[in-house]
This record gives sequence, structure tokens and C-alpha cells, in this order.
Amino acid sequence: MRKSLTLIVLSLLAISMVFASGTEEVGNQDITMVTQSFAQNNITGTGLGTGDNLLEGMKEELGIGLNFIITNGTDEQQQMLFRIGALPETEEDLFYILQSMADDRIVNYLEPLNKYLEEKPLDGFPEDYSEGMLADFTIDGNLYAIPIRSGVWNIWYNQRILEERGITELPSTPEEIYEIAKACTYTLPSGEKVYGFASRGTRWDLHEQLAIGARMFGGDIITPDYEVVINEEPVIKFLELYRKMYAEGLMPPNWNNMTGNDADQMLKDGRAALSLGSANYSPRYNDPETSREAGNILPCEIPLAAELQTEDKKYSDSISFTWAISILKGSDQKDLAWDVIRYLTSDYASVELAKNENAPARMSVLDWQAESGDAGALVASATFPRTRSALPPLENSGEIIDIIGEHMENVVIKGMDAQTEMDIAASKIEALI
Amino acid sequence: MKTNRKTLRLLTYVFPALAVLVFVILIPSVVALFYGFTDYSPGREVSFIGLDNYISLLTNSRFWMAVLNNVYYLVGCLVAELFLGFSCALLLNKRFRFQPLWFCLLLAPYAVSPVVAVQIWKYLLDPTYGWINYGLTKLGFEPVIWFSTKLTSMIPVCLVSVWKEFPFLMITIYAALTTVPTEVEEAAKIDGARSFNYFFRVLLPIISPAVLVGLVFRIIFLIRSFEIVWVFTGGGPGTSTEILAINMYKESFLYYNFGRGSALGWILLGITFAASYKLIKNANKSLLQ
Repeated sequence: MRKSLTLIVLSLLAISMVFASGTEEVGNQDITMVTQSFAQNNITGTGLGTGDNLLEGMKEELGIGLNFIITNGTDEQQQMLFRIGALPETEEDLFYILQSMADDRIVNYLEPLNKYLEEKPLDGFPEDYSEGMLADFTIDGNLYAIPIRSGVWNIWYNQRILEERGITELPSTPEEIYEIAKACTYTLPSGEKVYGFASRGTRWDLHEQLAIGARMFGGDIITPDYEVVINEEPVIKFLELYRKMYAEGLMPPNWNNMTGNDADQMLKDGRAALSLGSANYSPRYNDPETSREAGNILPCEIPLAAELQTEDKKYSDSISFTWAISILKGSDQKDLAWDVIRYLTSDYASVELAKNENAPARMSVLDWQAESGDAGALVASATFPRTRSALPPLENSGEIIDIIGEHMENVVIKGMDAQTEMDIAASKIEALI
Repeated sequence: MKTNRKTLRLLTYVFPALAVLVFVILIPSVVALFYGFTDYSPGREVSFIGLDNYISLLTNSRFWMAVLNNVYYLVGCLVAELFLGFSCALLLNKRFRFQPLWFCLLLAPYAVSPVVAVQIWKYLLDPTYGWINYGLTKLGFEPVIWFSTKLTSMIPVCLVSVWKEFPFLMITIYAALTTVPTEVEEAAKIDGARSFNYFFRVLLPIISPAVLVGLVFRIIFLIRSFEIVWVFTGGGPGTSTEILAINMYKESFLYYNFGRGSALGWILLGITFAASYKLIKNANKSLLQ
């Protein structure tokens, strides 16, 4: 009997030790941030960064250390928000949030920042931030996150390939993208094929491409006031053009399996002439150590259909993305967390983050980049005033993105009728909004 | 009194394992069963909605498409795995040079992580520099545009699954074959049995309990398969390779419909149980005999 009791006690002790090991205390002057690897690289200056390691300055100036919890993608970041945001007390303090996650549920998970802004204002706030960008994170007059990384999408092209194939002018209409892609699709003497156009195509990237395409023809997927227009003419025109490019072999056959890294690699290897990417990608494309085409890959704006062009508007609205930094409701170090936000969004840190490949959210930093001769920043600053995100904040964004991807694949890869597929997609999306 | 003590002692021994099972299987299953009757989604108030989740799932064409995809995947993989597993086990059961080395080589894919296996095959199937299409073109065939239709998506998915998992059946059958006394084969030969008759009438009935157990495991694993298909195609193109586990993952962790995801989990459990019940019963019967 005694033996049995001893065994039970030992078992319980072992189980309690397993659970207890997960609640290690974090030091008072340490702040924990939940984010993705790009933010860690931007802050620490690792990778292709030429700016300062901001962790050192933060420790020296504020006496605060910063720990990172890294998630593997936007969906995992969203899951983390639901998991830790709902806790009354968390060890995590700061959270990177994408504009598409900022539906009305964030009021349950994130701390309103108005009080902190009044007590300890930020450099350049609000005049140095776009109003639309701040509006994405504002609910009932309360701001829940401060934009820290924001970029626009544009075309990246390989100048060498274009010149060799006799292309002297950049695309000024969507049809010219097709013409250039066709002229730049060829087979090398080694038997390797160079594709005219290669872009990421996994299910979770497709809504962005569809929004870019729709906006080239003056349309959209879902308007900012939540009208579903995915089955209207601009989307259909774009899908038919895209299908033509895919069917004629101007795009890689495995396009729907290509990640951002795959598409980047094709561009860097000289196996693709045109691609789509964020305006801040110049360092990654033109790094002599990792790119065989360093110096040849340049950005240009996304064209607009000829009939929509005016004296003031020659290019498409494209799409933008904004990551913002927020304080979790369950954090017990909110004041320290705010100090970290103030430091990371300061004049000095914003410039250093930009040097470390961060797409700046502050207009003055973008202007500084453009003046420094960064071609991507020039395109970004020209596009910023008119751009917006691919989709407005949506509660069912995951399901809607999946629906868009499914029907876009049906059209582009399987060759199904674009109008029929988009009508089905529209009815499914309308039911979810 | 003595029996009670003995029972208590035995219970003590199994207590740690039972406690773990209760924490990681029983409690989550009961919670999932409860969520299945609600519209639970993070950040929203939870309402009890009865059987709505089950009804909406069972009347949704996407669910039945996933069931059908699961059937294709299960049958395609199971037949190929059984054939390969049996063939290799029979070969390995013969004495030949470097037999242990061949055993290790055949077993190797089983040790590869599913995600790594998919990445390797993604390179092999790459349309530009993949060896598979290169080999096909060298043999005079047109290169295949993998992942463009249901067929060209299902084939590589099943191929990788079979390549990676057939060693499980191989090792199960091989272990069973090694238990068959040599006298059985000798006696059958003396009685004039040919190889075909010996295999189907003597050998197969002896090793069938082990084969059935192996099949039960494979059916369960194939029904709840996720990683290989998810990493390869994400369920696409369209919904061509969307199987039930992917459907469940999407509902729960991409759409955040935990209520529907939980209901789907219980439906998946029911299907697994129904599909394996008969086999488990037969395996038990054979073992008792």
C-alpha cells in the first residue's frame, strides 16, 4: 500500500514538474515581442542589413532587453494573437499585427494606445504617418497599433534579359506585360528555360496578385466599403490575361507551388525576366553574394489599362501592406513596452530599420531612402499616396483568401471559365461578409 | 482483500500512462465534442447551435469532395504500399548477399521526415530542372505539368506517401514471415504444393493477423494524413487534393471556425473507426485462433 502511494505521489510530482517548467520568470527589464523573422532581422541588423543593431542601443539607452518569439507566417501570427491575446496575463508584451488581422476582435486582445500617445508622444506622430494606414488600426476612435513596416508592390525586371531580347521600354499597359513576358521566354543553350514572368503563387498569395491585376484594369476584389466586385469586368480581364500567360508557358508550370523565396531565386538566377515583389526588395535581389544578376534587377511601377490613364495617373494603384506594433492586453509591463515602441519608431531607429531592409512606415524615412537613390523607394513613394491593401480588414479573411485562391487556380491552371468561377467566388464571399 | 490489493497495485502501474492519456486525448476529445455543438470562434461569444455544424458539413459538397479525395488517396496508397511491402518482405526473407544492407536501404525512406521527403520530391518534380521530367523527355515523352490537374496532383502525392510509408508494411510482413517455421514450407513442398498454392493457401493464412494489423494502422494513418499533402499542394489546385484532415485544419486554424473544425474532427474519428472496425475484429479473431 505504501509503495503504491509513493508511486502515485512520484507520478503526480513528475507531472507537476513538466507543467511547472513552462512558467519560467522573465526578468523585469526584458520585453518579449511576438513577430516574424523579418522583424528580428530588421531590429538586429542581421542578414543584408547595414544599419545598427537596435538591441544594443535599446539596452544602453533604456536599460531594456528585447526577446523575440518568432512565428512562421501570417497565419501562425494570427493564431498566436488569438491564443495569447485572450489570456488575462501573458509573458509576451509586444505583438506585430498585419492590417488584415485588425478586425473589431482586436479590442479584446490589444491595449488602446491613445493614453500612451498623450503621455509620451512618438516622433513624427501623426503627421509622418499616412491617415489610411492609421485608420486600419483604429476602432471606435482608439488606435491599437503603430505602423512600423509598410510597403507597396511593384514589378521587378531583369534589365539584362530585357535588353538582350530587344525590349527597350518598360510595360505601360497590362497587355505590354504579356508582350514583354512572351519576348523574354526562351530556352538557354544549356536547355534551361527562362520564363517571362514568375511570381509567388501559393494559395495564400493569390488574393494579392488578383488585387494587383484587378487594379491594373481599374477594379478591385472587395472595395473598402465592403462591396464584393470580384466578378466584375476588371478581374475577368486580368484572369484571362493571366491564364493566357500560363497556358502559353510564359509562367512556370509549378507557379501555384512557388513560394516567395522560389520566385526570388528565379529572378536572382536569371531564370525569370519579370516578377512581382515589395518595393524594398532591392538589397535581396542585387546582393552580389547571393544573386547571379546583382545590379540587373530593377523596379518599375505596375501599369494601368490604356483607357484609364490620365495626365495625372499613368500607373495602377497596386497594393500595400502594413505591419504595426501593438501592446498585448495581458502584458504586465505595458509602460516598458510603450518605451520600446517609442524607441523603435524614433527618428533614429526608423532610419536604422530602413537600412536593415525594413520597408518604412514613416513618410520622411521613405523620402530619405528615395533621395539616397533607392530605386524601390522612388517607386514606393510615388505609389503610396494612392495605394491600399489587397483586402479591407475582414473577420473571415482566412476563408475568403482561400476561396479567392481556389477559384483563381481553377481559372489560371485548369482553364475553367473566369466569369463562372468568379461568380461562384463572389456568392461564397458575400455569404461570409 | 488480496485481489483488491493486486488490482490497486496494477492500477498504480498504469496510472501515469492513464493520466497522460486522459490529459492529452480524453479531455481534448470531450472538449472538441462540446465545441462541435457550438459556433465557437476566437474573440466572439459562444452560442450552442445543436447539430448545425454537422448538418452544414454533411450537406456541403466540399466535404464530400474531400471524402472522395481521401478515398482516392487511401486506396491508391494502400494498394501500392501493400504490393511493394509484400514484394520486398518476400525478397528480404530469402538469403542473399548484402541482405542486411538492402534491408537498411529499403527502410531508409521511413526515417525521413515527411516535410523533408516532400521537399526532395518537389525538386525531383520541378518542371525546369527536375530529374523526373528530364528522364521522361530523354525517353521521348512529353514533360508532365505536375500539379495542374487532379490526376497530376494526386499521383505525386500518392507516390511520395508510398515511397515514404511502404517500409512500415514491409517490416511488419517481414517480421511475420520470419516466424513461419521452415518445416511448413518443406511439408507443403512434400505434399506437392506449387509456389502459388503455398503462398495463398499456406503462407498467407499464417501471416494474415500481422498483415491485418499493419493494414489497420495504415488505414488509420492514411485517413488522418496531413503533412505530405499539405506541404506538397496545400489541397490545390482548386480543391483537387483537399482531403479531410486538410479541410479540418483549414476550418480550425485558417478560418478559425473551431466549432466546425471540432465537428469535422469527430466525423473523421467516426470514419476512421468505421473503416478500421471490421479489420480490427478480423485481426483479433485471427489472433485468437
